[in-house]
Amino acid sequence: MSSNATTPVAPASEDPRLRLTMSARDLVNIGIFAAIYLVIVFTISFAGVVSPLLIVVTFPLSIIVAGIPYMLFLTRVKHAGMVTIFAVLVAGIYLLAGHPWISTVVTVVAALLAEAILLAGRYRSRWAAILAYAVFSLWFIGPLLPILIDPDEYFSSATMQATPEYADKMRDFLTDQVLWMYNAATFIAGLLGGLLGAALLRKHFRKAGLA
Amino acid sequence: MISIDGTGWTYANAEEPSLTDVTLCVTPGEFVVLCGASGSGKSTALRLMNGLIPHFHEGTLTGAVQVDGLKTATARLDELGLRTGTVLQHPRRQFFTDSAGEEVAFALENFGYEPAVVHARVDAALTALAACLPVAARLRLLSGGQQQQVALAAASAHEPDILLLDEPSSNLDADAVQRLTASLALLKARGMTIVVAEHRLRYLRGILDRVVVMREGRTEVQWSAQQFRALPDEDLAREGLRGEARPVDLPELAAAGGSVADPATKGGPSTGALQLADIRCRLAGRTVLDLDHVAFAAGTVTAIRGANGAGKSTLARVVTGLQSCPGNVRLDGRKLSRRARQRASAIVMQDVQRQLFTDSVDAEVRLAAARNDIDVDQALRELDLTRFADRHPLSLSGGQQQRLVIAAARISRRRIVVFDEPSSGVDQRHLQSISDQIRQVAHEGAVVLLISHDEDLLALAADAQLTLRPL
Amino acid sequence: MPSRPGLDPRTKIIAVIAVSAAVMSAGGGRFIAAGLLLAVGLAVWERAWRRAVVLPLFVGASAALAFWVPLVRPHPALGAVATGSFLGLRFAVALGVGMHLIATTSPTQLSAAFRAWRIPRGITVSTSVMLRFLPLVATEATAVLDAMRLRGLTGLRAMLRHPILAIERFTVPLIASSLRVGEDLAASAMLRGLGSPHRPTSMTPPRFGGRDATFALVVAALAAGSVLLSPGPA
Repeated sequence: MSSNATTPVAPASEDPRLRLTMSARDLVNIGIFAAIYLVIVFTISFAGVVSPLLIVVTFPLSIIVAGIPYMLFLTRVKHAGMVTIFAVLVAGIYLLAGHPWISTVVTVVAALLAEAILLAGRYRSRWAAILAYAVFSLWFIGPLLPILIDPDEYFSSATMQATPEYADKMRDFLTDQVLWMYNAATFIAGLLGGLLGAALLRKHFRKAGLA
Repeated sequence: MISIDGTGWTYANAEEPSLTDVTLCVTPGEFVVLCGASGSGKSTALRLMNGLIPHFHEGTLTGAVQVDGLKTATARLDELGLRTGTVLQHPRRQFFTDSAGEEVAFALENFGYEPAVVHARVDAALTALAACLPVAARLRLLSGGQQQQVALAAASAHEPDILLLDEPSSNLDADAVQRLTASLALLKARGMTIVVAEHRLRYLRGILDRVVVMREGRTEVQWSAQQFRALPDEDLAREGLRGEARPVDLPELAAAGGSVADPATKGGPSTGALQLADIRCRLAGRTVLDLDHVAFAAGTVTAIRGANGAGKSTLARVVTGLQSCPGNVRLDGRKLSRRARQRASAIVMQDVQRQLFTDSVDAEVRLAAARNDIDVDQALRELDLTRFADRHPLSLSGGQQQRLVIAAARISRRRIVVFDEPSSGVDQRHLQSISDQIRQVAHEGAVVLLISHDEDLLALAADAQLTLRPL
Repeated sequence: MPSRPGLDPRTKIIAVIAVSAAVMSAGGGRFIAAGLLLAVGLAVWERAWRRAVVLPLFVGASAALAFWVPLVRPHPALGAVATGSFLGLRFAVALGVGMHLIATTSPTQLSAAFRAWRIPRGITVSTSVMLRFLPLVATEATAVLDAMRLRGLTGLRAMLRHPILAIERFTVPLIASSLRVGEDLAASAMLRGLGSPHRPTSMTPPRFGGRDATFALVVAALAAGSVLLSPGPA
C-alpha cells in the first residue's frame, strides 16, 4: 500500500457536473480517431496548397477519404456525445490553423445534428451512420463563410471600385446559388465518403477484427 | 499480493483461447519470471495482473484474479494502475510526452498528487536517471536502453506495490541489459513485488526468486531460483527460451566516411553488387549520413549496426531510393536512379501492418507477383501460406504477417531487401525461423541489409556488419 | 521545447482566438496589418526566422492576387483565384499566430492550461491523446507511402485508373498501423491514470506573469491603432 502521506489528493468522488458517462477508453478512442481523421484530411489538402487548381479535386477527395476512419470511429461510439467531442477536437485544431471562428461554431452544430441522426438510428444503423457523416462533413463550408457573410467589404475595396464591370461579374458569381451548389457538393462528397467507409468496413475492418 | 486461480481468457475475434488454465500466487516482495515461447500466453497473463484484461482488451474471462486485495474484474483500471506499475514491450511506444521529467510526472499528475509531491518525486527520479542518460534530451533520441530506464522510472514513480514488465530485454544490447538488471535489483531491494514476462532469462539469474514456465496458455513447470541456476541453456531452448545474450563478433565491412564507426577498417574500395559512393545526406540542415564508399555483396546478409541516430534508417532509405541524396548508388555496376532503386528494393518494416494492402493473403501475394510470371498457388504452398490464403492479412498473428511481407518481397524478386528490426519480441523458435527466411532471401541472390539490435538474431543471420556512428 | 520562457499557454490560446475573430469577422480587413505585425513579432521573438520571412511574403502575394491582379486583368477565371486569395490572406494571419502557439507549447503545457481552466475531462483527455497521436499518425502515413512506393503502387496512371483502390491501399494500412501503434500507448496511459476520475494536477501549473501583461498591452495598442487608422465604414 502507498503510505498515507502520498495518497492522491482527490478521491474518486468528483464534481458530478464534470462526470461524463464516457470511459477513459472512449476518450482515448476519440483522440486516436480524430488524429487519423486530421492526418488524412491534411495529407490530401496539402496537394491543394501546392497547386490551387488541384483544390477542385482535393477538396471533395479529402471529404470522401476521411469518411473511412470516421465510419470506423462510429462503430466504436458507445455513448452520446462522443461524436460531438470528436468535432470539438477537429474544430479546435482548425481554429489554430487559421480557420475563422464561425467555422468552429458550424463544425460543432454539424456534429450535434449528426449526433441526433445517430441517436435516431440508436447508434447502430448503417444508413444513419452514412447520413451522419454527410451532415458532419458540412463543416467544410465553414471556412468560406466570412466571404459570403461580408461580400460588401471585398466589393467596396479600392480594387473593385476601379473595375466596376469586373466587380459586378464577381458579385453575380458569389450568389446564394453558388453557396447552395457548394453546400450540395460538400454533402454529396460526404455521402460518398460514408458509403466508401461502410464498404471498407465490410471488406477490411470487420475481417481484420478492428470494427 | 497476486493470486490467479484457474483463469482462462479468450480474446474477442480469436478462435482459440489464449489462456486456458493459469494458476499463480505471488507473495509480497517476490520476483517471479513468467516465461515460455511466443504464443504461450505470458504477456496475456501479465495483462491479467494489471487489469488490461478485461478492462482494455475485449474477450471472455473465466476464473478469479486478485491483485493487492482488488478483484480485477470489478475494480476500475486506474485503481489497478495505482497499485501496479507496467512497462510494456516497446518503451518508446508508451511514452506520452517528450521529456523524461514530463514522463515521470505523467502518472502522478493524472492520479492527482499535489504539485509539490510531483516535483519532489520527479527531481529524485531525474537525479537517478542522470547517471545513464541526458535527462533534458528528447525521449525519441535516446537509445533503447535509456528509453527503457525512463519507462521504468515512469512506471514506478507513483510507488506502486507491484511492478510488471513485458519482455523488457528485447531490443536491448548487452550493456543496457546489465543496467536493466541493476535497476530491477534496486527496486526489489525496496520491497517491490516484481513479475517479468520474458523469453531471455539469464540476465535475471541473480535476482529472481521463481521461474514459472507457460505452455499453450497454462502454467506448467515451476523452477525455484536454485533449480533454475542449475539448468543448462539446452533445456531452456527446449522451452523456446533464449539463453545468455552473447555479444556477436562479425567481420566489419571495409568502408570509409564520417559515419563509419571503426576507423581501423577504413581500407581500399571493396567490391560487391551494391556500391555506394560519396553519399552525403543532410536532413533538416544536419548531416546525418556521410559515406565515402562502401559495397554490399549479393547473396550475403550485412548487419547495419550503431546507436540510435547513427543514420541506419537513413542508409536504408537512401539505398532503397526513398531518400534523395547526393552520391552514387550502383547495382551490378549500373548506376541506378532513385526510381530504379525503388523498383529494385523491398523493405520489411518493423511494423508490417504498414505494408499489407489487400483483403486476403492470396490477393497480397498476387499483388506482389503482378509483373512476374509466377504460379501464385505454388508460391503460397512453398511459403506455407496456403491454409491462410483466404484470411484477411490483418487478422493473422504478427509473426504470420511478417512472413507474408517477406514472401511478398521474395515473390516480387527484389534485388535489394532491407529488414528493419525484424525480431523485436520474438522467442528462440521464431528467431530461428526469421533467420532462416532472411538467409533464404540472400540465398536467392539478393543484397540483404539487416538493421537490428538483437545480438541473438545477428549471430544467427548476419555474415558481416557495417557499424555507423552519429555525426 | 521553447528556447526561453514564453507566454502563458492560456495567453497564446486567447490571442489566437482573438486574432481569428478580429480578422475573420465582418469589417475585419482593417485588422490584417496589425495581425500580421503581431504574428511576425511573435515569430521573431521565438527566433523562428523562416516564419518571420515567409509569412509577410505570403500575405503580400495574396494581397497582390486579391487586389492588384483584378486591376491588371479583370477576368472571371482569375477572379476566383483573387477571391480565394482575399480569404487566404486572412487565414495566413490567423495561422501565423496559431503557429506560434503550436511551435512553443508542448502537449503537457496545453493540458495544464486546460486543467487550469477546468475544461471538462472529456475534452482535456481526448485532446491530449489527439495531440500525442498527430505526429505518430503522420509518421505512419509517410511510412505507408514509402511502402506503397516500393511496391510500385503510387504510379499516377494506376491511381487515376483505379482511384478507389489507391485510396484503399493508403488508408487501410494507415488506419491499421496507427491503431496498432496506439494500442500500447493507450494501454500505458490509462494504467497511469489518464482519464481516471481523479482531478489531475500539474507539476508546473501555468501562471500569468509580467510578460503576459506586456503582451496584452501590445495587442491592445495594435487593435486600437487599427481602428483609429482605418478609413472607417463607408
